[in-house]
Amino acid sequence: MSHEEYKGMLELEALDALDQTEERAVREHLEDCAECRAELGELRDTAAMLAHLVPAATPPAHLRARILEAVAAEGQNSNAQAETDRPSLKEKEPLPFAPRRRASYNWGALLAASLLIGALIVSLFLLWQRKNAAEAELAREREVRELLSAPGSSMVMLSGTETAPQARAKLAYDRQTGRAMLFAYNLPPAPAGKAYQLWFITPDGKVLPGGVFGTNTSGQAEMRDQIPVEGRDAQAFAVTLEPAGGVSVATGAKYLLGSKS
Amino acid sequence: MSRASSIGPEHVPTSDTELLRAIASGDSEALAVLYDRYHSILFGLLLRILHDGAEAEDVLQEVFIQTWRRASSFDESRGKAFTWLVTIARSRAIDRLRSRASAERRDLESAPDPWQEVSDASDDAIRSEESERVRGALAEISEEQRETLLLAYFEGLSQTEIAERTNTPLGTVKTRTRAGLRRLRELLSR
Repeated sequence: MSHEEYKGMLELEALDALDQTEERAVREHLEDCAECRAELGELRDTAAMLAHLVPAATPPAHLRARILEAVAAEGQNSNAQAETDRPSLKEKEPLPFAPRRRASYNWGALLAASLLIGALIVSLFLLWQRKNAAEAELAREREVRELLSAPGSSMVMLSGTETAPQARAKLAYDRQTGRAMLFAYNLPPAPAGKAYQLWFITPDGKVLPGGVFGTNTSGQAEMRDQIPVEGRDAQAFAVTLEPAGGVSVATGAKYLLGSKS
Repeated sequence: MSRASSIGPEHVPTSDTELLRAIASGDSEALAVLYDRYHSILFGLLLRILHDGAEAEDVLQEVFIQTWRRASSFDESRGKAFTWLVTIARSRAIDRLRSRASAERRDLESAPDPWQEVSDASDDAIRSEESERVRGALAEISEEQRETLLLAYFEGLSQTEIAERTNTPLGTVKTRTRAGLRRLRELLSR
């Protein structure tokens, strides 16, 4: 299909009215075409204006508090956490070596001192890294323990499909609150522009979208998610490869599958 | 956090984009400001799509929790912050709509003409300036184009579903959507 043909589909995409095959084709084209992305952005802005047609309505006052509580319970969002978890190296480095004023340097001593300080910096850095890793590990264990000790909690094992036979994952979740954590191993790294997405499959066959995640270089992933209310009775779970932003209807290949025993 | 203090009521109103940035950096106060700014328009939209107060409440909560988690994925170059927020709300609501039993969906199909319903419902509501602008622009496009846009936007129908519902060839539906949304953009940018 040509650029012009894709361009002619953007209005329908802006209203999410394309049929699945066309939608997939347009989304692939959008990944490579900045012009169409910008155009779609503007068309979506126009479509969003239609929301102003509806009379505003006031939700019950307790909803605001409920949302803010849920957010506080969740703690900082992942980005903010990433920032605070990684303090800049500068703060941790010891003070720089103060140069002597006198011109007559003892070069041997200077070299020895530099080496010593270098070694100290390296070991301090390694210690600091280990401490951070240990703290992160402890925090994670605490989180998993909390999740698993909740009265409505369950643990489901997911195994790799033919696409990724080595892949494994564990999903821990609390049916009452919908809190969930997924730990995945041996997943192939997601290609650029793609990410893995979790799905909840309810007993009556509905497939509800869950969170989107990537893996580290060794194919491991860890994701926190909130299962929507209607997905908490899910009997089966899947992980598929989707466009990086996540999608509302699964389109990509299945990588992991598991069901409640 | 220094950014939080700039959002207090005693300061100049913060833009939506700035709020999303603050939220992305973990500022829950910014989320509260965003909620206060948009809860009523979003709740109105969710009620319009779902026709169910309890579900609309559920989705509204999901929308703000998702905003909290994914604010960092907001990209200004891909559209306005308002669009981002409304898109989350609408797509969550439409996902629910689609997952409902088909019997229930049939009831909705016999619902009154969306344009009619929208105009009636807001007769006694306070009409905001924006709503007047959109209403004015919609009145200038053809009835068929308007119907197509509203069916797609509020009922979450795909082009094929719109063709079936309105007994119109698919090609015509595509042309109407394209022309209708382009014209609307033109009229709203005036």
